This record gives sequence, structure tokens and C-alpha cells, in this order.
Amino acid sequence: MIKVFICHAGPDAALANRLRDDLKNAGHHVIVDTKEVLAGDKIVEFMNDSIETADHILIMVSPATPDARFQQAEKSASIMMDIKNAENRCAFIRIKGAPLRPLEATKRSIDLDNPDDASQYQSCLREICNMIESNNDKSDVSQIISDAFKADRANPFKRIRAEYYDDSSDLMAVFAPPDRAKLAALEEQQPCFLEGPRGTGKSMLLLSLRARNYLQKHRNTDSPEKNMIFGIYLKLTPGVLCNTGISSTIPAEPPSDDGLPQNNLHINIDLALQEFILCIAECLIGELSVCIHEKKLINCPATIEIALSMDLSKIIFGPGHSKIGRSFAEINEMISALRDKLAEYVRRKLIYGEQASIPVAHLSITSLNRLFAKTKSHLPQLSKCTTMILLDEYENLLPHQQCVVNTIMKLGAPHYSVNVAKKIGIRDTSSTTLGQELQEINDYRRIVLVYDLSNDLQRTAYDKLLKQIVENIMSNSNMNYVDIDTLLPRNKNLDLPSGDLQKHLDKLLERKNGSGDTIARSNPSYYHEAAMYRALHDNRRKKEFSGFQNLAFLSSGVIRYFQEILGVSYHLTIGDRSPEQSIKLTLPAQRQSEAVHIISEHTLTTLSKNVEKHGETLKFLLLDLGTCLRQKLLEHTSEPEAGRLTIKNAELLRQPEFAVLLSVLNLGVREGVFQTKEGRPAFRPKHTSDPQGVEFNLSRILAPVLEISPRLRWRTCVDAKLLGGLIEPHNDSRRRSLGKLLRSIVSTKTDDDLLESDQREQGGLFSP
Amino acid sequence: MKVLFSTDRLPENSVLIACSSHEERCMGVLGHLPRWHPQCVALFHYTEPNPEREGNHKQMLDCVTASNVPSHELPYSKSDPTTSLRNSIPTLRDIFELHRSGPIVLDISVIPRQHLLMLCQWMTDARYWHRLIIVYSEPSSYDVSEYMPLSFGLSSLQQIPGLVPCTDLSRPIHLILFLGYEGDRAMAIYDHIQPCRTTLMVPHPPYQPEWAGLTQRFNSALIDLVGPEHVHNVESIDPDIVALELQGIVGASNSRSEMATIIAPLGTKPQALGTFVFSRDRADRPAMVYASPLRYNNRFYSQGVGNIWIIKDADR
Repeated sequence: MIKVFICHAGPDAALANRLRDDLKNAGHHVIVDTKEVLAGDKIVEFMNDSIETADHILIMVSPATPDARFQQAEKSASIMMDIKNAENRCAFIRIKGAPLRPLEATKRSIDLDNPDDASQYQSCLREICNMIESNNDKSDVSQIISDAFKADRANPFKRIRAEYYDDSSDLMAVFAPPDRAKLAALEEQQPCFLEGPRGTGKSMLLLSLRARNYLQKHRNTDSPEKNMIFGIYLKLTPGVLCNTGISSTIPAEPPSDDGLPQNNLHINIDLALQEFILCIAECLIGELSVCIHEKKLINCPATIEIALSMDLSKIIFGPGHSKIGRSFAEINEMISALRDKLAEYVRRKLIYGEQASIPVAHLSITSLNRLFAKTKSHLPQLSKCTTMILLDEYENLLPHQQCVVNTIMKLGAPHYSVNVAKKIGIRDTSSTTLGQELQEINDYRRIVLVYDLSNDLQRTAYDKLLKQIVENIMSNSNMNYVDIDTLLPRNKNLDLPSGDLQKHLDKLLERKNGSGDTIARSNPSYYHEAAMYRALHDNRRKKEFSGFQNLAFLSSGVIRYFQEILGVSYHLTIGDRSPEQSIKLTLPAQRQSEAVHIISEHTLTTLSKNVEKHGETLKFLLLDLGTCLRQKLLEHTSEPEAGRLTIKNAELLRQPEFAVLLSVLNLGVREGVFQTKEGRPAFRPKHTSDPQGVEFNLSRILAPVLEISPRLRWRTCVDAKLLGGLIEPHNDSRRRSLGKLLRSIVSTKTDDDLLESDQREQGGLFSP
Repeated sequence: MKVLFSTDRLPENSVLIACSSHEERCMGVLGHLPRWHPQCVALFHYTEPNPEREGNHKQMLDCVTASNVPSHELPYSKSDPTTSLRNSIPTLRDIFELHRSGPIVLDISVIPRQHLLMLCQWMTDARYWHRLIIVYSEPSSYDVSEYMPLSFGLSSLQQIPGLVPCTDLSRPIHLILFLGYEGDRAMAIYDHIQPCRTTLMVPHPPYQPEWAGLTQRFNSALIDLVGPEHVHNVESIDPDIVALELQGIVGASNSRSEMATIIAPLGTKPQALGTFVFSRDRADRPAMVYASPLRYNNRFYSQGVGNIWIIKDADR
């Protein structure tokens, strides 16, 4: 992400803000030198930091410039830095023909005589965008990642998608299961919810239990006592009810005799049930077809297949149906036709507002049991297998559809078990159509796939899993692999001018010693991390990350991040060439570090492009939080590494005016950019009576792009109201909130003092 | 079909359905009103704030009034397409029944793709498809900047309401992605769907010869990721050819595909229509998904009115 600093005179603020908005839209990180940002005493630090770290400095000169003291200071400093460092970061925007001084005239300038003329402004904006991109020596991170993971690349760490599990023997070979406890829980009869953000291996685990994969892997198993699994896999979608504007309220009324609630959602829940059972039937037939015909994993003579098909057909379409399917293909065609009719029913009734009769209404949970029982009775090979319904992407469902799935989970035993993968932190329901809640422990187990790296046991399990994946990848690619430390060497040398690090360390210890802190005095490494970041900042250097331990730590317990870092490191090291199998592969520390920064930036920037609705808001919230934490790391006298954020008055999040903030925070958890210590959702407890979680950590993968430490030693208290201010659509209020948050975070006052003074200033959050 | 528009080709007893937008080409067909006199005009009016569109909308209404053609306004909220369509159906039905002898001319130049596909599905279900003549105006130029997207963010990624949903997702997914100038949106669809097979469709020929290669440039990251061998050039204006090409890629219409097909029509509007023509009679209908942006870039957009085409004729 390119950082652009806009320097302007006070009267030109409106134009500067307009330019900022447009450049932000173009994907840049834009800072405007508004006093409000840091209100008073921090303005000098702000100006210094902005000038030092910007990739481009846009200086707006106008008739108001000569009287603008701050702008004059920024302008002089920027030009001097360009000259001193032989750089070309400054460019001038000449408003209303304002003249340039001799030194300024050596820089690139763009004329904007009349900012109110739309076409002039547009052409100026285009010229600025072209200038930024053409002077940009940074490659676009999306392009690097696309290059690294190109379809035809020999890169063994190429992005590994679970979706290719069935098609690629490579994936089967590199798949490494999680620790034994998680795997054992998954293979048991009791239903499970597999939870984690994207990239934690949820789909991979479900697919490993799918019959075509599981039976193949265990076809030669010698232990007859092993409980075999016949798994059918389905990716969930809202189906025919997608976005028809129907109510998504969870039914609260008691159920009727047939197990369905007696309210106006009755029809929709029934429709969801009918469609869901049709999907499962389609899935079952598809799986049988692959296992019998393609993979020859199940023995089924033609006569048995006809008999089985006819029995299944009668269950699915009812005994009175005019046609009986005599093969799997015929049944599938009949199901497709029925589903078309369901879609037509939905659009006629719910979109066009016409009268329509439901095309299928006889399917029930009993039908599901009968489908599985009939299959087992015709295929003795499956008679002792546990039938497992593997459902992926539960978060796609509407609440009443979740309610149907919950009911099926609750009523499954002993006929079948249900394992469901869902993203962590989603808004879901524990309701069933039975009027009872789906209860953890009694009805299902929860398996969280994010590893908490501050827990030694989990850290060990995570490291072991990553090493196993790397070993599998290397072995599958026939590459010469010695060990993980040879593959990923670590550069311990900071390469800073002598004395810089010690200077900051001494400064921190001197302050601390003054306060009599014996821990800090007796342990100089106590402030090593903060001193290092300060020394790097002085030298305008980025922190380097290399070595297995560091990369695993930065991946924050999410496998995908680790794999992507290795994939990009490999690409930067080897490029298009195929690896030489005789030479042991080593990814140099510098390449690892570059890859870390690329993946970190990519993770942040794709939020605004790929994440629905609040993705863009989340990205800018993270950038603002990063600004605050970076300032704390560089300036705070006692607790600089404080990436653990605590919302002090979290109860406010339940109030309607904080609904958007809560959505954004939940989205952050779902997308894996916010994590909690236990890897649990931070903002929504399992039961409403549970205490609300308040502490969350920024995923460590974001630390490089936000220029903060990935170590989360101390917590930083943030006020919910100020946090809410950061997502305000109005730029001025947002900037004011950022300024206040920054002051409260960087200040050495205690959080209680600050909150109290803020409350006095604003009349207080809780005052009448 | 694809023939250049002329007023001679449109019967006087037609009904015109059009919509306003901030793009000048929304005036393309209406600009011919003095020479062609439909019996009635139904004008979709999108409710989301957009001053440029409002200016054009007023101009369109003035033009209709000046030509002495009765008109009906149909409010439509892009954020609530199902309610909007439901609310507009009674008026449309009344107009179509009142003028039942004539064809229905639908100008799709600036209609959002989601609205277009839902409207086509309703016209099929309500048996008006055979009366439909579809016209399309190209822009005369696009003010595109390589470094400035045409839209920003992702508002939602969803199946198109009313059409067949994604069926049997226990099958691997084949994503057919029609590309336009919005590379980020195409990449977002690819990332969300996570297909096993991807086919990228590039409009060809481009509307203007000097635009050749622009689609590939805007989507270079995705093309690299998927592999250039999966990129197909596909007709940009004629929906029937688009439908035929899709059939060649997916297979015969009466068979069940081994993969679940999902189509994302981000390309030209006639291509979106082609996907509908392709899918409507299939035994194993593909699902259609659409990614809506958070907001459009109103500073950089199409300018003027280029060629106007008739791309579907009524059964006569």
C-alpha cells in the first residue's frame, strides 16, 4: 500500500479532504496534515512521522500557503529530506496559479487552476494517480501473489485450496491432520462444529472424512474393529430462498406436533427442510455413484443398484409419484427438475407475490433416516460404517435454515452424525425446530481450529502441524529437505548502526529505573523489542522477520498465512525456475522477510476488496488502530508493546447506536484479523447471559503492515465510544476520534485517569 | 442476433421500458423519440442518491413529455431488488396488457445486471418473452484510468434472486466469470466461490479498437492466477452467440454436468443477457452470482452514446 501525505494550508482543507477520499478510493493510504489529528502537543511528531514515512508527499500550494506556518515547515522539511536522501517523493499541486519558489520548481508540479471545475479536477486526479504509480518502486502485492501462485508455477507451496482435495493427489499427500484430540473428536459419533476463520483447514478436514477420500485411505486397513466412516460432503448455500427478502427472525413459539413452529415462518422452515433433505439425497447419490462407479470403493452389482435406486426414489419423491428412478442418474435428473419447481415456487410466491402451491411437502427428518437405512441395507459393506453428514460454510445459511440444520444435528443419533464447519465469530442461532436449544456438550462438541500461540501446549501442536505440512510438501515435490531450520534460516543480525539500539534501551531503562521498577532493571531484554522498533524507526528501516519460529508466530495460528509466506518466499527466491532436486532448498532470510511484508499488506488490502459490506470500514479501522499502537510503541514510557486491545465499556456495544461497530468487530473476528486469547469469538458469548468478552488481539500477520510489534505483552484500553468514532462516515468526526484515541493510548496517564478526564470533558458516557 | 438499431425496426405500437443513470447512453434510444413514437414509456428510476443520474432522469422525462408519449415511473431500489421488482410488476403487467398487440422494447444499456436478469426471468414466467425486443447502446468512450477503479469495495456477493440457486454443491464448482473493467470485483468473486475449474470470458471484439487489451490489463492478476489457457474471447454484443459459446464450454443442455456451474456476469450487458438465454432451458441450470460494489466511481465513467444495437427481436 502506497502511503501518501497531503500537506496543505488551512483554507484548502476541503480540497485536501476531497483529494484524500479519491486517493483512498484508488487504494492508497492517505494522511492529511490536519491539526485535529493530534490536537496540539503531538503535531510536531505527527509531521515528522508523516514526512519520514510517506512514499509520496503532495504539497498543495495556493494563495493561502505563504501565511500557513505549519505548511511552510512541512514543505521545507520535505524538500530538504528529498535533497538529503536524493529522493523524489515531493510533488506540488499549484492551485489558482500559485507561484513556486526556485527549489520547489525543480520538483514535479500539477496545475489545478479551478478546483471547482470537475473536468480540471478529474484530469489533475488522473495525473496524480499516474505519477504515484509510475514513480512507485513497490510492486503491487496482488500481482506478486498472483505470480507466486500462478497455475503453471512449479512452486510447491502454491496456494493449497481444499476445493482441489479430490482432484489432486498432491493435496492428499500434503494433508496433515491436526492434533490427535481434535481428530478423534471429529471421527466420533457426536456432532461437531468446526470453527475457525478462513485458512484454518476446516474444509480440508471435512473433505478428508468424505467417503471417496476416507474409504480410499482406509481401504487396506487391517483393523476390523476400527469404526469406518461413510461421509457425504455438502457446501451449504441459502438455496432457493436466497435473498428473497423473507424474514430471518428465529422462531420463538413452541413447536406443533409435527415438530415445526406455529408461526408465520412455518412455511419457510418447512421449505428449508424439504430443500435441505433434497440436497442431502442428491449428495448421497453423488457419493455412492463416485464410490461405486469411479473409485470402485464399494461393491454394488447392477441389480442391487437398481433396487437401491428404486427404494431411494420412493422415499425422495413419495410412493405416489408418477415415475420411479431406476438409476442414480435418473434420480438426480428428477431431483434437478424438482428443485427447478421449488425455485419457481419461491419466485412466484415470494418475489412476484402470486399464489402458488408448494411442489414438495412430504420430506421429513424420518425420510433422511430412511434414506441412510435403505442404503445400508442394500450395501452390506456400509452396514457398520458411521454415516456422517459433512456440512461446510454454515455461515451462508439464513437463520431459519440454521435452525433446520441444528434440528438435524440434534436428532441425528444413532442414524447418522453431523459435522459442520463454520467461520468463527458469525451470528448464528442455537434454535431448533423442536423448541429446544442445541446445547454444547450435550448435543455437539466445538472444535476450534485457531491455535492460541500464547499457550505452550497449543504452540507446540501448531509448530508440529506446520512442520508436518512442510515435510509432506517437500517430500511430495521430491525436493532435498534437511530440516525446517535449513529451509528457513533466521537472520539474527539487526544491521543497525552501532549504539542506536543501546541508546533507546538505556533511555527506556533510565525512565523505568527512575520509577524503581526492579523487573525492568534486572532484565535488559524487557524493553529490547521496543528499543529495536525505535532504532529501526530512527533509521527508516522495516522490521525483518525470518526463521521458522518467527514465521509460525506471525501466522498467528492460521495455517494459510504460513503457507502463503512460504509460497511467496519460494517465488522470490526461485522464481519461474524448477527447483534443483539435488540441492537442499533454503529460502534466504531476506526473502522470507519480504514475503512476510507482502502477505501482511495483502491481508489488509484485500479486506476492502473481498469482504462484503464492512470490509472497507474494517481496513481503515485497522489502519487507525495501527497508527495508535505504533505511536505507543515508539513513545510510551512503560508499556510499548501493547497489541492486546481491551474495550473498557464493552456493554455499550449492545446499544443500537453501536450496532455497526459491533458488526465491524464481528466481521474482524470472522475474517481472522481480530483474535482472542482462546481463539474464541470476542464479542458474542455462546449464551446471552454469559459475560461479554472484551479483549481482542490484532492478528499478528497484520503487525508488519501496521508497523507494530507482533508481541502482545500489554493491553491497551480503548473506549467503545472512541472506537465507534473511528468508523464514522464523516471524516471530521473520525479524525477527532482518532486524535483523542491517540492521546489516550500514547499518554502515560493510566487508562482510568483518561477515561475520567474524557467523561468530564464530554459530560461522561454514563452521566445523566 | 445483432443488428444496428434504426427506428424503422421498432413498431409504433410498442411499449418502451428504459432506465435512467449517470451515464449519457441512457438517452440512446429515447433520443430517437421524435422519429419513433411508442404507445407508452415505463421508466425505472433508481432510488439511491446520484445527482448526475437525476439530471439525466429529468431530461428523459422531458423528452418523453415533449414527444407526447404517456409515461410511468417505476421506483427501484438496487439494495432491495425483490421488493422493487414485486412493486413494479402490477404496473408493468397493466401496461403490457393494455398494449397487448405490440412488442415490448427493453433498453438494457444502463440497467444493473441483477435487475436485468430478474426482469428477464419474470418476463419468461409471465409469458412476455416472445414479445420482447431488446436494444443496447454502447458508450462512445470510457474515461478509464488504469489506476482508478470504476467502482469501490464489495457491498454484497449473492445469487441472483429468483433464479435457480447453486445446485448440488457436493459437486466440484466450475466458475464461468465474464470479465469487465473491474478487476477487484472479479477477483473477489473468484476468492469467494473458490472454484475447482475457472473459465474467464473476455469480451471480443471490444467496442472500440483502441480498447483492445484493456480487460486483460484490468484483470491481469486473476488471469495470471487462473492461467491464460482458461481465458476465452467471447462475443461482446450478440447474446445468442454468447449462449452458444457457453454451451460449447459446459456441454449439451439436456445432460447433468459433472460440475456445479456458477456464472458471474461481470462483462457487458448483452453478455449477461446471453447467460440468461443459455441457462433458461437447461436441465441442469447454472446458478448466477453477482457482486455489487459499495459505490461507483462517478468521476470516471462512460461518455456519450456509441453504436445502438437490436440484440433480440420479438417473435413475429
